Amino acid sequence: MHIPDGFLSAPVWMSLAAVSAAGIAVAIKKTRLEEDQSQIPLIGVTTAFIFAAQMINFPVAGATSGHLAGGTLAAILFGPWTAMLIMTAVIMIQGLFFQDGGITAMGANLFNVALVAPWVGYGIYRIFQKWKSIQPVSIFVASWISVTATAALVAIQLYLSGIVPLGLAMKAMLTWHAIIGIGEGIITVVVLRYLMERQGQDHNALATTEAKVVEK
Amino acid sequence: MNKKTKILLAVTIVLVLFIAPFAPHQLDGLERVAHDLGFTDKELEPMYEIFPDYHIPLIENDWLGHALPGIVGLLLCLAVVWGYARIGTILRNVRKREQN
Repeated sequence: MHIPDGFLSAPVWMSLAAVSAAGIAVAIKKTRLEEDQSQIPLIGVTTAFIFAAQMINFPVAGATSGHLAGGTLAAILFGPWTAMLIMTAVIMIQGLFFQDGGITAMGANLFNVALVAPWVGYGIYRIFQKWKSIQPVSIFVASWISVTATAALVAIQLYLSGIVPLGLAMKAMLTWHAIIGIGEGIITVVVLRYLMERQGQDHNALATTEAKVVEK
Repeated sequence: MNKKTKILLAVTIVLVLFIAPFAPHQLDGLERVAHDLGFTDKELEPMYEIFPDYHIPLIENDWLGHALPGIVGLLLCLAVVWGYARIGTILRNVRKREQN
């Protein structure tokens, strides 16, 4: 869902760049990676994993393709502030070195993928958190909603840029990303279940790890 | 680095070397929408190109041309996180020294 240069009007990309810069500045203040050195290798490897997973497109309905976005995965593992920084690193590396996502559109891509996606995914996950028995379901739903919400935002940004009527953009973006979101949900559930099990932790323990990294 | 992190790293390397180079190159969701609603022509050429489409066109071997940029990206991710944490540590030490 990386927006290239040319799709967004100057007022849209400029304001989103300003919002993203402010949001990332807050995330930098909120996270103190250096205070828990033991988390840094896993954060680094998770960033690399999300980057690698984004290179792998799975075919969707013979008409399009999707790949993991990863915002919800990072947010459940490390908390939303650290997830914002992880996704910021991925989006910036993709835009600057791989021409995946435009340079002027980077603020918008950061807003959608690095700010909104992790918070939406995390927020939904937290709502269902107390029902441990349905944890895989809540991870799946959180990931799916995170992807469709991001798709809706892109539709709104295209509309505000005068590219397409809102209804058309919304319908097209939501139709495809509702399917792509299923892939996001499955991958996020599989990876998180594995990482949580291997740690021998339930979510409470993970939340403790997260609290160490975040909320300083 | 614990076992779980090592396994995730191994999976990441396998994805980059052996899965990503052979992944299908279909339009992604947004590209599909741009195509269907007829605004693909609005897309501007990139301002510059380093690894366009995660690929080095100059390398004739298709697998290597895709695997190499993937490895570069993976190393960049690790370097950015490590560098960020390192700067944080240095700044903290400076602050501590100033307080003393």
